Amino acid sequence: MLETSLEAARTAYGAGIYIESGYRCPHGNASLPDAVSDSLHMQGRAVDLFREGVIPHSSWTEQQFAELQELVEMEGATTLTYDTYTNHHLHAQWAY
Amino acid sequence: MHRRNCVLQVRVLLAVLMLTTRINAQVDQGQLAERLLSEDAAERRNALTAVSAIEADNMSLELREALITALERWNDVTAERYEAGRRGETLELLEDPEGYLAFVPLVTRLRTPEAIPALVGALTTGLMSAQALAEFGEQAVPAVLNVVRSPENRSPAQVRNAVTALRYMVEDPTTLLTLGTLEEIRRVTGQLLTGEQDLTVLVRAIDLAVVLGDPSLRQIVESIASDRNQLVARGIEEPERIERTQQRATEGLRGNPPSLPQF
Repeated sequence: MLETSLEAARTAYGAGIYIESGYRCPHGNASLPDAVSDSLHMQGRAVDLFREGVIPHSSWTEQQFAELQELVEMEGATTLTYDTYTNHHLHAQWAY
Repeated sequence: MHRRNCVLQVRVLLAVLMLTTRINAQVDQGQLAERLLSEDAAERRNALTAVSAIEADNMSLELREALITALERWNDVTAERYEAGRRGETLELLEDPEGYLAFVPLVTRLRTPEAIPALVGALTTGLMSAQALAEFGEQAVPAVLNVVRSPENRSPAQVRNAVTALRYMVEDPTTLLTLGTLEEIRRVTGQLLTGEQDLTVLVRAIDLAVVLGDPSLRQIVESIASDRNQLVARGIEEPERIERTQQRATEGLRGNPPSLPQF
């Protein structure tokens, strides 16, 4: 579901999407300082995204974020807003 | 006589066991309710995992209320951070932000009108709460319309997902809306289409307009689809954004608005 939904969002977005983090094994997840212990990344049901080409990440604008977020919402993801993550990636998960 | 006594004793024992189990379950749920509202993120997480295994119908009132309160707290934190971000304040990293999303499906499953305000706040997280709100029909309309009518100080995510909550209601043949409500939805949609909006709110308003089937709204969508200056006048100037929006309007007019996710 995640892969299909992301591809649909990318197509609608008309630009590349950079996946910073997708599936994480438990060991890899535990090695991240700010990851939660039962993150959906470990079930392959969550991704952290940036707009492709937006490097450094701080130049990822709120509008770009919102537009990609809107599209993944339409694909059934629940997401966290621009202000939730101070390092400004888009966390999207499919958990239902 | 002896056999009857034995049967009686077994029955009493079973009744006591059932009562004890029930009391224990209630106590456990009471503890879970407390832990859901803990300041400690790990404690909340563990409680959430335990609560996820309980069917909504088997949850105590206390546990249901705790779930709603916990989601409202997250909504408040998110709203405060949105405001702080607008003021240019530096935001600290949140502990367990994914915990916010974990509460949303649990509260949607409660299917209680008491959850409506919390679900309205959680519209920032996507369409899961929008569909849950739509299932309340008329009962949720005032709260949802309130978000759409007063977008100031709200995140675009909350506003656009409120617009789509209305679309869920309009598209679901089992949701009965009064003529007055439908008229109000049409009026608000017209305002969204003609005013200057965040682009993500505008595209959701386009989707809603085409499913409403109102000729005057359709006419506005047609003008957006065919005339790029209509979008420039709404503050959208980047060619890729104009093209994407016009494409969405065109597809909607052809009867193909993006389908809504079903949770």
